[in-house]
Amino acid sequence: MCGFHENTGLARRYLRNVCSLFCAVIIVLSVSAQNTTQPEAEIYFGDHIARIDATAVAQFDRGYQLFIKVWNESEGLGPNFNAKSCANCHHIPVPGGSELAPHTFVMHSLSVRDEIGGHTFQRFNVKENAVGENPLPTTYISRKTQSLFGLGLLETVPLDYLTKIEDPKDRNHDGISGRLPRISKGVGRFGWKSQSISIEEFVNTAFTLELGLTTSTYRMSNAMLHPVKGNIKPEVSYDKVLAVSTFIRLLAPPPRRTISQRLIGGDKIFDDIGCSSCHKPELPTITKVGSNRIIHPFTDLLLHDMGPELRGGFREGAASRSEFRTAPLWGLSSTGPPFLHDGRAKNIESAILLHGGEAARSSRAFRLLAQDDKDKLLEFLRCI
Amino acid sequence: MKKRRFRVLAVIAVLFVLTNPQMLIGFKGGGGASPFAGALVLVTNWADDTVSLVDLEQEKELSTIKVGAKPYDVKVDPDGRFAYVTNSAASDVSVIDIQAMLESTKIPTGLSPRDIQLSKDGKWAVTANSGDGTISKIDIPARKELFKVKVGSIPYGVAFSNDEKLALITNWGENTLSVVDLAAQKEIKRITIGSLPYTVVVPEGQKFAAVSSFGSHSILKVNLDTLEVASTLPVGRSPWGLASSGNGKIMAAANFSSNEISVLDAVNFSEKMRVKLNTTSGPSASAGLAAKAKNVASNMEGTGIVFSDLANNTISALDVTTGKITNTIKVGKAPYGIAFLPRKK
Repeated sequence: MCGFHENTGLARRYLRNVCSLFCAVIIVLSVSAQNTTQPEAEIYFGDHIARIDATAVAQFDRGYQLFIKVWNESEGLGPNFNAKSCANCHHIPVPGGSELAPHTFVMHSLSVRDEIGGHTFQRFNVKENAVGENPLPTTYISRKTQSLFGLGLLETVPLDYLTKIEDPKDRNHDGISGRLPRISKGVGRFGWKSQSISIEEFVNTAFTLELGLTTSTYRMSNAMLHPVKGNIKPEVSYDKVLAVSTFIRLLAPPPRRTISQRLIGGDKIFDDIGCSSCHKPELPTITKVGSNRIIHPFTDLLLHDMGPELRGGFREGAASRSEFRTAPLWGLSSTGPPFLHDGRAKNIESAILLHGGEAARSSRAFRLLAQDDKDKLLEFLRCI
Repeated sequence: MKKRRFRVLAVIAVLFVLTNPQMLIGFKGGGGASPFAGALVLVTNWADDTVSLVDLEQEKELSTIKVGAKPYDVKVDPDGRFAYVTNSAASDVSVIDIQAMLESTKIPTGLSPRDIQLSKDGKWAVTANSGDGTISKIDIPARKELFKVKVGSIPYGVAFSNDEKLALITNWGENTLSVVDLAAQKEIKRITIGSLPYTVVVPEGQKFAAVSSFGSHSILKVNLDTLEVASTLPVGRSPWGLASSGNGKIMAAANFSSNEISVLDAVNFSEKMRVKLNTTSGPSASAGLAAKAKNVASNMEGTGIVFSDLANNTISALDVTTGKITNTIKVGKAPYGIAFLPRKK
C-alpha cells in the first residue's frame, strides 16, 4: 500500500512537472510566434491614413478613381502632354508612388516656356487624333517623379515650427543654414525645389503641364504653343482637382520595415554623422481640428545648399541652382534606384556620397565609416 | 493550492492548444495529404534585391540569392534547373542556377521588365518591359534577347495562347491588352480592358485569357478566338497577382486592398471561394495584421495556392480543399513574385 501511494505521488509529481513544462513551452512558443509576426506596417502603400470616417473614405476612393483615370483626346488631353494619367508616373510600388525608369522622368529646359511660366518640356503631342513626340530640347535637366505617400501629413507641419528651425545665416555655426522657401504666392513645401505651396497647386500644375488638361486655375491649354482666346470652360473642374488633392492628402505615409537583427544601430550612426540635422526623424503636425501627432518623414522641409556636386539647371521658385528641399526619406527603398532629383545615383550609398555643400561633412563622415557601420546605416535607410 | 494551480495551468494549456493548433509541431491542418508536401518555391524580395528558396512543408527559408535591382517576377524552367528573374529597376533578367543557388548571368531586356513568361519547353521567354513600352523575346539557351516589339503604355503582364503563337500583354498605363503575333513580331490588336490591368494568364487547355483589373476590382475574360472581352467577374478590391493551376482548372487572384484571396473555377469562370486573410487561421490573423496579398502561384493540381504578403514580408500556403492557410514563412522585404519548383519525379 505504502509503495502504491509513493508511486502515485511520484506519478502525480511527474505529471505535474510535465504539464508545467508543457505550459511553459506553449507560452514561450506563443510569445516567439508573436515576435516573428509583429506588425511592420499597420497601413501599407496605397492605403488611406488611419481613423478617417466613411465620408472621407468615399472621398479618398473618388479621388483615387480620378488619379488612375486614363484621359483621352476627346476629354482634352493635349495638345502637348507627358502622360495620360497621374498613375502613369506615380505608380511604384502602387498608385501614388514614384517612377524608376529614367527616360520617363520629366524634362525641364530653359529653352522651353510652359503656360504657367516654368520650363517643363512636354514630350508628346496630339495632332489630328494621333499621338506624336515633340523634338527634344538641345539641353535639359531631368526630374524624377516624387512619391506622394504621406504628403497630406507634411502639409500639416506648422509653419511656426519651420520658422523656428530655419537658420539661414547659420547663427549656430553648425555649417547648416536651412531656409524657408518664401515665394510670392506663399511658402513652398512640395517638390524637389519646394516650388509648390500646396497640394492643390501641385495637382493643378500636374493636370496642366503633365496631362495637358486645363483647370479652373490654368484655363489656357498649352497657351504658349497654341494660344486659346476667351474664357474657355476648364477640362478638369475645380471639383475634380479637389478630389484628386483629397486623395493625395489622405494617402498614408510609407510603412516602416523591420531592420535585420544583425544590422541594428543605423539610427544612431545616422544621427552621429549629422544626417539628422536636415533629414529630421521627427516633425510635429497640427490639423484643423487641433489634434496632432509626431510624424517620421526624415526631412526639415527647408532649402539647403548642396554645393557644386548637385548644382544644375536653373533657379526655381526661391531655390538657387544648388539649393534643394531636404528630400523626405520615408519609404526611401521603394522610390529607387535610381535616387536623387535626377536619378543620377545608382544606389543609396552613391546618393549619400554625392551630397555636397551643407551636407559635405556628413558625406565625408560616411566615407570614413567602417564597413559594418555603413551596412547598418544603409539597412536603416532601407527600412525607414 | 498546488492541485488548483496545476488544474489552472492544465486548463490554460488546453485552451492554448485549442486556439493555436498551428503551434503544435507537425500540425498542418485539414487532415489528409498536404498539397504542399515536398513543395519548394522561389520568391522575389523586391525591396531586398534577393530571391528566397523556401521549403513550404518545412516552413523554412532555405537560402537567399542576391540578384539585380528590384526583382519582380520569377519563372522556373520545366526541369527545375534554372529560374529567370526580372529586375524591374534595371533592364535585365537574372538567370539563377537553382542547384548552385547563385546568379549565373544576366540577360539584357527592355527597360524595367515586369512579368516574364517561359515557353512550355523552356527554350524561350517573353518579358513585359514597363519602362519603354515593349516586350522582349529571349532565346534561353543562347542567353540573349532576340527582338523587341512595341506595345502599349507601361506593360506589366504577359501570357501566351495555348499554341504559344500569340503573346498577350497588359498595358497598365492605358487600360489595354496587346495581342502580339510572335512569329510576325508585330502587335495585331489592342483591346480596351478594365482599369489598371496587371496580370494576364491563359489557363492550360482553355480558350480564354484572364486579366486582373486592379482599378475595376474584377477579372476580365478575353475570348482568344474573337479577341474580345467576353465577361467580367467581380472579385475583391484591387486584384493584382493572378495565377492558374498547371491543369488549367483553378485560378487564384490576390485582392491587394481587401486582403483576400479569390479562388476561381477556371472552367466555369466563376468565383469558387474567397478567403479573408485577417480571419483565417494563419499567423497574420493571430497578430491582427492587415495582410497585403500581392502575388499568387498554384500547384499543378490546383489544390494548393501560395501567396505573398507585402505587409508582413511572408508567403503563405492556402489549402484549397479546406480553405485554410496552413503554413506561413518569413522571407525578405516586399515579396513580389512566386514560382513553384517542379516536383522531383
